[in-house]
Amino acid sequence: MSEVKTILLAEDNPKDVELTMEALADSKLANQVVVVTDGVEAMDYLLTLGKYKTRKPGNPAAVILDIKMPRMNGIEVLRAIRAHECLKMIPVIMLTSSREEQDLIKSYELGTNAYVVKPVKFSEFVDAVKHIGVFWAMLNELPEWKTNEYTK
Amino acid sequence: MKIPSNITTKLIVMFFILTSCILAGAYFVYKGYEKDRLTEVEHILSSIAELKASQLVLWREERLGDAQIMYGNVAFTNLVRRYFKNPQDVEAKQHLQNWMAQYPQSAEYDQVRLIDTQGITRISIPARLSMSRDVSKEVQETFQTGKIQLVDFYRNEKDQRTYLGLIVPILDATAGKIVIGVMHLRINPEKNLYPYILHWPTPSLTAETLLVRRDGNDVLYLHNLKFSKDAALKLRISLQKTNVPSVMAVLGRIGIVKGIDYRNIPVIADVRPVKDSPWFLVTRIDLSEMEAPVREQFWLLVGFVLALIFATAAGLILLWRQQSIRFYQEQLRSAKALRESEDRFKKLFTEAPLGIALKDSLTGRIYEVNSMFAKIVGRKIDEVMQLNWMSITHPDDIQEEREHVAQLNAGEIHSFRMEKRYLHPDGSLAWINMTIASVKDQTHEHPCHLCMIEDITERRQQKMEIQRLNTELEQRVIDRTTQLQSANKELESFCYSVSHDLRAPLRHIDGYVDLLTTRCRDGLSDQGLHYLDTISDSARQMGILIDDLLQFSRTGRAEMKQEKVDMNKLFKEVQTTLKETYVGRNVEWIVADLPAVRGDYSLLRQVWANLLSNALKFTRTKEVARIEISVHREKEEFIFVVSDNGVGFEMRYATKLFGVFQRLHPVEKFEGTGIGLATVQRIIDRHGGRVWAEAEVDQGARFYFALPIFKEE
Repeated sequence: MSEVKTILLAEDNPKDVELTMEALADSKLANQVVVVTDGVEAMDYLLTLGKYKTRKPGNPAAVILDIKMPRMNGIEVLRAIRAHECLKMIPVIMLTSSREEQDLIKSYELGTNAYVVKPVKFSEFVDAVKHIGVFWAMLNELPEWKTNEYTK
Repeated sequence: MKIPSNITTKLIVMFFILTSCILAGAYFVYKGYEKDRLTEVEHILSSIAELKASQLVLWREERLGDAQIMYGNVAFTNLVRRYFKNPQDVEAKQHLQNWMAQYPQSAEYDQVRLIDTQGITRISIPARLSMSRDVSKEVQETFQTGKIQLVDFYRNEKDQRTYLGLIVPILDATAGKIVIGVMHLRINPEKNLYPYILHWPTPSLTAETLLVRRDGNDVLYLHNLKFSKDAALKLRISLQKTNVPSVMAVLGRIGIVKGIDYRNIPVIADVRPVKDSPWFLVTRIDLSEMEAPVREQFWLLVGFVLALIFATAAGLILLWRQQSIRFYQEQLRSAKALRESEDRFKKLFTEAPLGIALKDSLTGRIYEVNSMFAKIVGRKIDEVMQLNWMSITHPDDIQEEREHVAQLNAGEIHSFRMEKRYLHPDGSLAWINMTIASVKDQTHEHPCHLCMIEDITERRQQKMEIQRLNTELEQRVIDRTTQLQSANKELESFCYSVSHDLRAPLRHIDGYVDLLTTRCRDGLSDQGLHYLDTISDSARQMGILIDDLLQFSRTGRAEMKQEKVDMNKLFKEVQTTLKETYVGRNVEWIVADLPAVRGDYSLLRQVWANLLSNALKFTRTKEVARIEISVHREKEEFIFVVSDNGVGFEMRYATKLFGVFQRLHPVEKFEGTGIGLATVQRIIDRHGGRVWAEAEVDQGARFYFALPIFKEE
């Protein structure tokens, strides 16, 4: 592991961002967590567009998506990722308040890697986020060439 | 209407057959009778002939016998010799006369004489008799032969009578049998022979016996005949006439013959020779007499036959009359039936509620039309009859009808049906349903088209109206559906918001409370910590509420499957998932065998889960929890019962049980959101069932739900 990849967190609610960041901080991950506040920004980041035009190239280790976001929601982002030749291998975790079965089914149909409902109890929430971070950013292995090849 | 000739012919033939039978029968009867009669006559003739012939033979023998007495009589011979020697010997003469006198006294002889060798009559009785030439000839012969001679019938020249004679030679035995004289005995046939011959034993007009002999080339009749009083030795018939029975007899025929007699009259006769004589006996009777009874019989028969034929004819005529009466009755009946049938059909035609027309298939000329037809096309019958069919048809329908008619005329189809329009004289349209069938009609030149029409203008208008209404309705349904869909969408987005947005603040509350208690614990008093716990607890409680509410909302909206659900399996599954909620408790389960129902597996699962978790929850205070699951059938439903021995409830609140957020127990005692039973009711409602409960405080509760009986399709 020559380079520690980033984790992209798409979450519009700053309170949730804060709580999530707290949880991730608790897990002592080395990865940089990039926070975007909606789907459009998330795609900009992934495709190095807009304000992320100058960012360091390379796909994040994982993308954590809230479903309900302004402009472009999590499901749409997921669809765009899976449709994109260079992005489709990125692990995507839906981290959401929605227990709606439709959302669950849709997400899995589009190829999400995990679907986690945010628990109301904070301690449980922390546990969940920690597990996500540790699992996807540290334990999970990805085919190198695919994820690194994206340059545009 | 004439009686069929075959009946008449039959009867005539029958008449001829019967007549032929009668005639044939009569013919055979007649023939049989004729034959019988012939046989009878033949028999009579033969019998009489035989009798007479034998009598004649006997008579001749008797005559010769008479001669024999004298022939060789020595005493007599001596007397003759004595007398001839001495004519003066009176005694001898006297003796001779005595001898001789015996003969004329007999029935046969009327004369007797003694002739000497010179041919001189020496004694005769009666005295002084002359002798016929024939006899003297015979006498001369007897002197030569010395034998007894029977002189056959001859005619005496003097008295012109017929006699026979017997010449007896007198032989002198002493002088070497020299004939010394002869005795001549004259036989008078009138005395005995003729009456005998002429005698006929039965009454008869024409029957007689004839005695004939051959005389040269003729047949000579030897006595006077019944119809020829002077025939004796005079009547003769040439042997050339072979059809005369006498000739036949003489020429050697024996037996029954038919022929012409001496009177030239047809006769039947028995002919035969008389033995040891030149005689032939003809026993005859006129055919006419023989046939008289036959003829009589014939006429009788003719009468009888005529009567029979007449009777037959009468019978057959009677039969013919009966037949013809029956025939005419039949004719009358069928004519009546035909007329009735025609009337009925005419009535059917004229009064039919359908428009009916009969038209020529080629020219389109209308032959017949009923009033309904005229009414439908808006014209009078007379007008319709003059119409050109197509001229009143809507131009847009002409082509289709022509095509159908062409098919019909080509024999490809037998009938067709189409909806078309007729133009009324006032320009309005009549929609009609028309059926045209091809019919063979011998009264018309071409095949006909039977056309039936029904006015469907009103029906069509109604149909159009219905169509219009349907379209309108469809539009309304679409509109309403759109409204509903948007309402649903709103509801969904509401739920979504609830699920997502409502929970987020809760989570935040909990999160920050947690952060507060962990990171700023030092600045908080115990009281403060307690408050934070309460805040956190409330937030969690609201989270549960929101989840339950979402679940409840989803049960109402979720699509429901209709499948066979094995309630035993479902129950077991729910029981298993609930196990951890009663770990360490003493729970007694009494579960009946449950039937299958039709419904949605996951929804019914929620029913069981709610009811069982309730039962477990409200029995928590009991030492031994007793939960019984039973089921029974009532009419078309299965009624499932979940009973427990828990805390129960007051029945007056029973109706509140199934309301949303309704609770009958404080949360401190029994946790819960008050949504479970509302969910149960909603699900059972959606299955077409019912749900209700019974309970008493501290006496347990019984929850019932009824589901329609599952039927295999």
